[in-house]
Amino acid sequence: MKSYLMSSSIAVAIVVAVVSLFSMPAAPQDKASASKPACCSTNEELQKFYLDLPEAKKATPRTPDGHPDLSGFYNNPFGHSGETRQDGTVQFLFGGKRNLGGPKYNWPEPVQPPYKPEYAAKVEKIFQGQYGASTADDPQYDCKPMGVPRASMVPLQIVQTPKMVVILYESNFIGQTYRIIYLDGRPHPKDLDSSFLGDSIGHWEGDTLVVDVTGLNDETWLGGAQGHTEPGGPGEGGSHQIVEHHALIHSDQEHVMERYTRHGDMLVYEATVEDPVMFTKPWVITPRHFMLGVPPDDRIFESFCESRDRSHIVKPSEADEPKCELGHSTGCDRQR
Amino acid sequence: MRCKIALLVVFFSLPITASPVLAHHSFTAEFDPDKSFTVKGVLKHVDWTNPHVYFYVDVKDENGNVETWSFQTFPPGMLHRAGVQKDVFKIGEEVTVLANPAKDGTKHLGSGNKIRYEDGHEILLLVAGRNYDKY
Repeated sequence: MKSYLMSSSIAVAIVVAVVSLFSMPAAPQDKASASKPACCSTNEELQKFYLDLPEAKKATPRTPDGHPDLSGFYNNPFGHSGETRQDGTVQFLFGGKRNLGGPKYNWPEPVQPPYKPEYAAKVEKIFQGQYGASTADDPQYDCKPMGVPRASMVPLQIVQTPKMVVILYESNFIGQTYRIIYLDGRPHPKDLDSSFLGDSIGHWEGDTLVVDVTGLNDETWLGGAQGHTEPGGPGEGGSHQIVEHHALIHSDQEHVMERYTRHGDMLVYEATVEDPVMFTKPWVITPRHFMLGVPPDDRIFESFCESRDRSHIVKPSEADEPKCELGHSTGCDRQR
Repeated sequence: MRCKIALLVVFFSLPITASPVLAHHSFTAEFDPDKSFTVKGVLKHVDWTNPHVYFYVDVKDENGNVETWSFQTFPPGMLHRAGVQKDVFKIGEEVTVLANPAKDGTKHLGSGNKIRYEDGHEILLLVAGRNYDKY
């Protein structure tokens, strides 16, 4: 853990340095707050930031039985842009919806899983072999479902009925897959075979859908370095990825409690992960925020995945210069 | 001959800028954002697949031998939602491709950034914050 702490410190130092070098001026409409970060040093502030957005202030639709209606297509509103010019030129800009001229953001450091020392050492070894945010060890390059909570990233489609909620995933890496969350009071099967996405049963606690997930195999990672996207980023006002770079291995005793709460057009995803084999205590992830209808009237796409990356991923070497990759809040000391 | 094909390939270093190389999962672990090359050939095929779209260009050397170059770019969902649809890749057309080379030394593989058709119009597959001035 010492090296992790050290690398985290270096990461923070580099982020601070890079932020100070490349900070963009604040948006004109926000001159008064230009001198201080717009948000968010804690998860609570992050949550408030999202729930203050106009999309989250809209009325939350409800089903006839009175529960919030989670149905809809959710995506990341702070993603990418494109344009078509008169001569027929088309442009895709990765991260193009980032507000590069906007106010600065700070982001809470992702909460890393509380591994027992023997597993922390294994994770550290994997981490040391990462190039930037990538390693060929990452099971995501198998194009198999990425487990829970890692699979819970946009784009996704939710279909809700009184007795079940179905989540359809569209993902670069996990391909096309789905989960069914049963709400009819059934227990987990006694003869459950472990699987990539496990078995899910849910119930409502107030306006939050609480889901119990078990029967997960140990062939996935918890978060890897893929992370997920939040708006803004250090100094760039752009997209920020929650990168839980020590959220890697888990055992087949993993048990997850998920919480889905809709606020207007926003879906807040929270999860607590237990792993009695590898963890010293439950791991509470940094909340994720998904937006409905981005772009409007969008729909889920076919997304079968064909693995062609793994064989080309290089490892860091002594000759590589440390380099910070903005867009990641941590681990930029690993970017070489 | 491979070395003659290399004559069609112009490597040059991009300026080291302050611009961040924003994350596209494995991009910087697979491709070198500080180097680029161009090839000219015929657009042969597009794989509209996850996690990355691939397009293929048949490149002829001086002796008329054809070798197929593979170019990786962004996922189809990202491209489509930004208005870059599969049919902008016009199969059979002559194109010039500007790309970043594979770090592991794989030949005939790159991360495609620009595809220029003979009439001058382009498909630009770019990362916000990166400097493409020298391209």
